[in-house]
Amino acid sequence: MDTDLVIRAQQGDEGAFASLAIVCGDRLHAVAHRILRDIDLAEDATQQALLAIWRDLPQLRDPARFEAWSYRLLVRACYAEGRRTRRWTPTLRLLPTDEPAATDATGAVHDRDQLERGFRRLSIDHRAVVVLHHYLDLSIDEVAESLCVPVGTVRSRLHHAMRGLRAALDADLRPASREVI
Amino acid sequence: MRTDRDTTRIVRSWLEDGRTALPDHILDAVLDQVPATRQRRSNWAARRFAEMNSYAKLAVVIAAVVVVAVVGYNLLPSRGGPSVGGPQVTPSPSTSPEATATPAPSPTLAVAFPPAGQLAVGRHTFTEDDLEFSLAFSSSGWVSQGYGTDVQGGTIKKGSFESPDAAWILIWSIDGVYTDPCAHVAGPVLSGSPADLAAAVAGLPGAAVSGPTDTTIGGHPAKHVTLVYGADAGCAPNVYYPWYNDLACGADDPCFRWLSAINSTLRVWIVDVDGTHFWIEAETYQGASPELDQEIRDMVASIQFE
Repeated sequence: MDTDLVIRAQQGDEGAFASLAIVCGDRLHAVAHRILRDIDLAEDATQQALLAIWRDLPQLRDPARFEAWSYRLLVRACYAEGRRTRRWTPTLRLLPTDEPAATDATGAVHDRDQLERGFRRLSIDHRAVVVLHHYLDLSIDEVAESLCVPVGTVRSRLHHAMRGLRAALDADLRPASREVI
Repeated sequence: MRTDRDTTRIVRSWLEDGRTALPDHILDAVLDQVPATRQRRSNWAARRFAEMNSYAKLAVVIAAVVVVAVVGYNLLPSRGGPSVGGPQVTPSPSTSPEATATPAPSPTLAVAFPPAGQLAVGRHTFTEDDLEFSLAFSSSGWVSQGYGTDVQGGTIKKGSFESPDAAWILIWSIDGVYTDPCAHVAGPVLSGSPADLAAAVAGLPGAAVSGPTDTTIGGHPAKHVTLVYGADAGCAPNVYYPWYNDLACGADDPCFRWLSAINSTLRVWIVDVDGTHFWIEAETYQGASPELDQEIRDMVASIQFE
């Protein structure tokens, strides 16, 4: 990230901020989309995060940390979007069924379907850690810095999240299940 | 049954799918709103500057210092294994003890804090702007975690954060207290006296509170509050946020403290240094010895403001 752009934007240079937004907008949107699993919510979250970045940039102490800081604001925007829509989320529960388990040929599709469901059951906290670590390839320390939480918390969230996703994947290896409202 | 490696591989592959480009209309909407959106200037800098003018040669303690830290046990429910978390540093964000141990220097800060590493027995000096204060260490085993620029503080610990008998001291500035620590509802910024802040701390729900009591530290009047969080606090320790500093990380992104473990004891001292408050806190795990707790109290009592 060009720290000169960051510094100029901190000083109120709207042109510099526009350049910053162009540079980091796609990445923020990609992360938001993966956390929220909804394109409309992701667009709203990215928009709110970019505005928050502009608004709070003067308070960023170290311009070199812009990227981690921007993820922090993005995840906060995702929280807000998640809360705003929480009441619309149907309650799901798993019931056993006697349908056959997935075959190899359709295994990948099942995996993705199961992952999608398993991921949606995670909190935004847990999703954010998974996305930052496994999508952006941030280290545990970098995720902790981005989310403003301790390293231990990141590790525990990642552990919990991956265990949940693994359980979701394994679900199609056991007698198949079906989600019902 | 899949292995962890299988799961990671599948998850990473799955995450690669999905939209990446930000639609132009979203970017346009943002840029359209920028001219009408006022930037928030750092009130931290403004406040510090104002105070330095007012109390020129006084030790301005406000922006204090320190610490962060820690962590705790990971109390994820219904998991059979040992807890995973560890102490953690205040969000800082920066977060982790490791991260705060090697902070990137900030051009806007002039801070001296014992670098990460063992602290020898004796008196160690800390400097924050014009304020210089020292702590006396009467035993070995204390380790500095260094200074975390993001949270404007640092941690001094004794014992591993994963150890049930560990303890540490955090020094930083606090601006407010959560009225609902489990729901993360923050109370207002408290710019009043240490007594106001101490009263707010003592009012935290879900804790057995002792105090505030009056004491003297470094020749200055102080308030002392002790809190012990039990299993009935209403939420897990690592999501129980007792207090925050809204200046270090931004008004919308406060640096906040969380608890490390059930039955941890938190001691807070708020010193009135010529009109400004100096905050120092210590946390001891349930397994920490009474001697260690006493040692911490002695260390705080040894503080001298230069």
